Amino acid sequence: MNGNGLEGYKVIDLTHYVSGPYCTRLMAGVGMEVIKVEKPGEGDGARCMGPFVNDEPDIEKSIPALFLNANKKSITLNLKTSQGRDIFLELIKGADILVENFMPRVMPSLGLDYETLRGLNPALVMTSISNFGQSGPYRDYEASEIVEYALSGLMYITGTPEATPLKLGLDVSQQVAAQYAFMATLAALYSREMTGEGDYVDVSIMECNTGLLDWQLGLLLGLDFIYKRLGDLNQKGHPWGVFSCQDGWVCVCAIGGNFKYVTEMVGDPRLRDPKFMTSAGRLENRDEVSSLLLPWLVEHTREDIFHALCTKPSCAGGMVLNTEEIVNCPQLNSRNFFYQVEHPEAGKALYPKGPFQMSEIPWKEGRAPLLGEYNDEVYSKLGYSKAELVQLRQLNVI
Amino acid sequence: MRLPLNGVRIADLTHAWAGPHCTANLADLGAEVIKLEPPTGDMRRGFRVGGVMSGPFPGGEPGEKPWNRNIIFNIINRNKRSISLNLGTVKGNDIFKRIVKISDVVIENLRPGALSKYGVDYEVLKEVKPDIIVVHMSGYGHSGPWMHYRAFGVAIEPMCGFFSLTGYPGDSTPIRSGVDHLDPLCGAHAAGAILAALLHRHKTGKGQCIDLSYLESGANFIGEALLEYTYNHRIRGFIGNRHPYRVPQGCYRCKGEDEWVVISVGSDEDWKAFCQALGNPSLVEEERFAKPLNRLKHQDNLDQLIETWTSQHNKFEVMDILQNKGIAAGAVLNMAEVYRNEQLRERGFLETVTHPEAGIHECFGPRFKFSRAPLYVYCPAPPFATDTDYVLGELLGISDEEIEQLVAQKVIFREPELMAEIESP
Repeated sequence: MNGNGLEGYKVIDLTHYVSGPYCTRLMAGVGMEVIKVEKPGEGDGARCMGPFVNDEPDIEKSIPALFLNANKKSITLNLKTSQGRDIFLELIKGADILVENFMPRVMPSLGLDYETLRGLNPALVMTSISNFGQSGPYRDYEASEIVEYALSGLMYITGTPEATPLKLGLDVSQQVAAQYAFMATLAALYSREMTGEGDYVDVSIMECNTGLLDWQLGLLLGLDFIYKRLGDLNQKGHPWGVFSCQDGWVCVCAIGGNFKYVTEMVGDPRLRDPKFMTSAGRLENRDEVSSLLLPWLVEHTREDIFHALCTKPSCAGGMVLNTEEIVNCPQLNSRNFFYQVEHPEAGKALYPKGPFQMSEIPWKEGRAPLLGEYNDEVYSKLGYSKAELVQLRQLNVI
Repeated sequence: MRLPLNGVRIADLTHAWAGPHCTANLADLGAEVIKLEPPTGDMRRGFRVGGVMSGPFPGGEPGEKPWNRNIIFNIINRNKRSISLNLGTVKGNDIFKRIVKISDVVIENLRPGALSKYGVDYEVLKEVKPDIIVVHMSGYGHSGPWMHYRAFGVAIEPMCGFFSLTGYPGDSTPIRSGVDHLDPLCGAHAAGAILAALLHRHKTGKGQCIDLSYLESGANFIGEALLEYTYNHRIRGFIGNRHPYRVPQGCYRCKGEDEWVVISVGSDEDWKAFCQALGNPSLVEEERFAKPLNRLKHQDNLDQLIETWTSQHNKFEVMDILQNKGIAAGAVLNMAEVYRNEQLRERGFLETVTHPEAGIHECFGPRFKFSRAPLYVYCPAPPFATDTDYVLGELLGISDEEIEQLVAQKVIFREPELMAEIESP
């Protein structure tokens, strides 16, 4: 059999906002058929999230939604009507995967819990992504990105010691959970292919993010040490972080004895002092090291420093790039990371492809769907005539 | 009872964090992950610093074999097996190929070109096993002008935009995340890609080569900001702890030293409930704050008012009071508080495992719960090369005598080679 082996799998995507949609973005990108089920009229709440293309608030111009929902097929369906729920069950019968990220009480309140759906389709894999998981004292707690970041333990260690703890400027907690949901759902599907039986996957945003703290847990268990926020510094070594240079910010990293390459580049004989030759020594004398590096940093551009450092053994450089610079990055462009999208309402723009390059499964280069764009295609396959679809629309079922 | 990936075998050449994080998740899902460590062991087992192995160790004790007692290694490498071989020897190379022949996936995060250098790149491995899935993880990917650039997670984070989006408003200093996010982030994407490849192989019989770059992985986390540039030609900066339209939102001081709570208020109903919770219902009607657009304008004043209230309470109290009114609020937990947290404990997220040389310790369990498959930490991280007899003897059918010869010839290692005196990262 030729072609993409993932194309035969059908995903019913009940997700909204970010954590669910990033998971199903990955599924759609590798070729699975992702049918995004949205509320008639307004659609996924993310469609009201800005920024908007040309600052024009419109459900087809929400930039977060355009990114997250590329390659998906949108249908409208009102799950609050009993006919809507019946249609949903028909969709489930023919599906391989269901993903949702409502508050835990929602699916059971609609009569759409896993046990019910499993009765209809024992091969179904159902995945629920929620703030804290489907159980526990926080189960019904409200959360948003900043709350998740704080409760995971990540926020306490981010920011400068003199200021408040700081949240990362991206919806990182939600997307992190989505990655684990993606791998776990596919694993359950793989198991289904071996056994014929599906399973229910419960992903907690809190757990996925707390799970990034393996180091910090180790330091707590071994040394009773509570990791604190250090701004741009790092307990792993020095230099091991971001420094100001001539035309912006650059990252300088040198392990242990390989600091000698930095010393050579900088050329200041004071840096050859034995106290700077070990990681421990440099950590202890951080401020002095930084001040000795400063004159050299201030005289060189990000590019100079980056290219010079990245070719030295066990050193690494990085540049603080903004979004414009990333879009123009020669490495990303040589790897064809961006592709051109033409969207009927939002217009033309470059989009990033997926997070991995697979030799047999090229990333799908599609766009986000218009609300309900695939109603005809999906519902006609279920046997509904155009006339029936008109009636269902009038009854606010779709 | 079957675990989802029972029957899948992974030849794991990865080291440090990103790769091992990927394979730990696959091991949690039931795959048999065989770490193929170099003679000096996975660098996460520790380094010699001034003649002493770097820790952390349980109770601060390195013990006789410190490389088996490093807590961070043991947390990251749960559920895996280990052997050690020298890929640079003819026999070691041959054994590797025999392992590949009975494996489903080969994964590495060595420097790009390393597998070619050892004569075992994808083209060669395809001849050994036609449907093999080979996974490369590297900073910039296996092609392009920066392919051979040295890279650590922390150096690439600024390259994928995380830094340019994170900082305090009014201050131009970009701030790094407290965790080297890109390592586990790329690892998690890798695990997903491997699962996609396994499903593809199930349907088509074909393996493939997967090339992951930290840079591309990370850039997927700022997709929205990238599109803001490509559509609107606007370069996004940082807004600290605030939100474009949820107000009030921020991090507020509570009673005690370095004690904080975060609050995020959405709708008008939330705003009313919030004012009641503060014991100040008249705030709702105040001109400055009544409507959301006004609240956004007067955020500084509002934040001051809120902090006057929060600073009189313990952060958990504030969280309880607000959550009881249906408002999103969370205490900013430090590691000790995370470790004790009632939600994580109730869910059994911290699991206890007994390590033959490091003793009983806890680690985070699988990052997902299945209702039927019983996922858990079923075995501790492997002591160095502990599975030599299992892999070489049982799986490859090599005799005991031959195994000992291979050890004597320094093709296979039962104990790690003394590392050169180097520094820890």
